[in-house]
Amino acid sequence: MFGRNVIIGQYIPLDSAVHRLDPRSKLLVVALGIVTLFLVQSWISFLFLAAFCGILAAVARLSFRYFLKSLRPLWILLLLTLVLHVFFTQDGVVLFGFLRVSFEGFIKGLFIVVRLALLVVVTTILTLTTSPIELTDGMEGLLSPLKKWGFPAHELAMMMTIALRFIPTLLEEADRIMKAQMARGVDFESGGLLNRIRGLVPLLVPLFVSAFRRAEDLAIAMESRCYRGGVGRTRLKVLRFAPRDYLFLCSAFSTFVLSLGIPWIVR
Amino acid sequence: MFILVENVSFTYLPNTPFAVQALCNVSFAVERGESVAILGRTGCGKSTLVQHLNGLLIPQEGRVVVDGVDTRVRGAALREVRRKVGLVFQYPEDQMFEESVFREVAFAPRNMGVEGEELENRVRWAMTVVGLDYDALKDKSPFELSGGQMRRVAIASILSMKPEVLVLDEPTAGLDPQGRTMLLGKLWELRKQWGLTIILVSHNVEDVARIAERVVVLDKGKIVFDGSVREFFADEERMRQCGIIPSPLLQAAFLLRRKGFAIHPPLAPFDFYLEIKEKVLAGKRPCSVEM
Ligand SMILES: Nc1ncnc2c1ncn2[C@@H]1O[C@H](COP(=O)(O)OP(=O)(O)OP(=O)(O)O)[C@@H](O)[C@H]1O
Ligand SMILES: [Mg+2]
Repeated sequence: MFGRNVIIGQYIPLDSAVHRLDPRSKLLVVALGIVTLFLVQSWISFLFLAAFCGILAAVARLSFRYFLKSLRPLWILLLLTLVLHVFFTQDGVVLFGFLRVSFEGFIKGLFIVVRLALLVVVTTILTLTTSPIELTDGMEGLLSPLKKWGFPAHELAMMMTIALRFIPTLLEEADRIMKAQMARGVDFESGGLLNRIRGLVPLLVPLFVSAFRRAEDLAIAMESRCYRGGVGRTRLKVLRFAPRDYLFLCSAFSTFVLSLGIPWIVR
Repeated sequence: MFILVENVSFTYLPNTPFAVQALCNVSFAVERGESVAILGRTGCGKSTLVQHLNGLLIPQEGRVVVDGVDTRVRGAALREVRRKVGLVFQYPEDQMFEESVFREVAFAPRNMGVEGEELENRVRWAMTVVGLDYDALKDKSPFELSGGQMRRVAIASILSMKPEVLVLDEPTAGLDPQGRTMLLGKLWELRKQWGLTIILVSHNVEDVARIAERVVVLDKGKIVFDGSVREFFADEERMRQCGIIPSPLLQAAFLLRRKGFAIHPPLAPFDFYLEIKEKVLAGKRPCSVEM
């Protein structure tokens, strides 16, 4: 069922140190973390990165369940990666005919699976602890240096914010219209494909009508409050790096550098 | 018993941090031909409750039985429940999508398999009953109509299913006083001439006084009062406790009573309404009920 509280992404509104971090520093760290994940070549580096993620998750009080949930849609991909590596690595032991299994392939496959899983975990920590609005604010903040070259950072962020703001509203509206049409005998659940497509007309037409009306109302409301794009606009919530952000950035950078350098150190 | 609601509880988004318990162990019954108002402050679960009455929502606990059929049924039986209990949503004009008023009103009976002459008869009947001129309006686009007309088209589009119960969720919200009076008068006629059972959700005390004989009051998902209109409107204290603001007329009457005037419980303005109701029931000129 759709509802007014449908959350886009998976934000869990808690109050923790990780939640309170500046979204810009979180975005920056996640971007660098992803790069690091693709660069590292050894298991021991993964250990570092996984430990870092674990600490963050613990500080943010996120239960393990959430990560399993976000990995669930990917498990087929992960399994396939593993299987392909096991069977298609060249130096395998021949089982019969052309089919060979390779232990080395298994390890290699597992490596890639862990890399993908960590990738998901890192981005999940970001989306679980940062509201979509904060995310767009953060993106605008990070992209605003590009404004000098005419990049529409503010407009882009505003568009994203509005879209995010209205997704739950539209879902709720869709739910309401669907129910209203069901009360008039529409059956959205059964019938052939053609019937179902035809059944969408009574849902989509009112939905579009109301979406356009909302868009117009919003435009008028923005204009009557003198919205003229990002030039000279101040914010209610100014993003400001706090000491904890510097601490977070420093510890993240050192973890990344360490996990890149550790194979040489232990060797 | 025509509609039976028994120990119904309902929670939105259960087992999430966003769970809202909208109904909590609600029980009541509606007999055929009754006219019941559901009152309560905003967010107390009125809309949730009425969506249970035609199986749009299925109770998570308890059961709802309409004319002997549990709303948990599926398929044709469920469609029959939805036909019997015509539900007019809040702001029903938002659901319109057809190119002409005729097609809009014909939509529901068409879904029920009504065709040809019978269909036309029903559309004509439904439009006439809510006071719309069939010949003048049938080919117009519903989007060209005024607010009050749109609302009436929306109600006609439910009536054309020939429901036995008409459930209306805030039917007068956003209407001007004239539109409101007109609509309430039509509802009253429907009740009188066609024996329709009416269940009305409202914030508006005067609407309730005009239409209903019985009041069910919800507060935070629980039923806190179930009794006659007269009884409910006699007690200012209880009304305010339930989060219902008396209409200006009632407030004046309450004030006079507090000042020691002998205006006793069945208060004057309501007697006025009741008198009109009785007159109408007795068949003396179906009037548009006006203050
Ligand atoms: N689709 C939904 N998803 C989540 N919560 C909901 C949903 N619909 C209603 N609620 C919540 O359930 C409670 C009851 O809502 P409901 O719409 O039944 O109230 P209502 O009495 O009709 O209010 P109103 O007078 O404002 O129409 C409210 O707290 C509301 O926030
Ligand atoms: Mg409501």
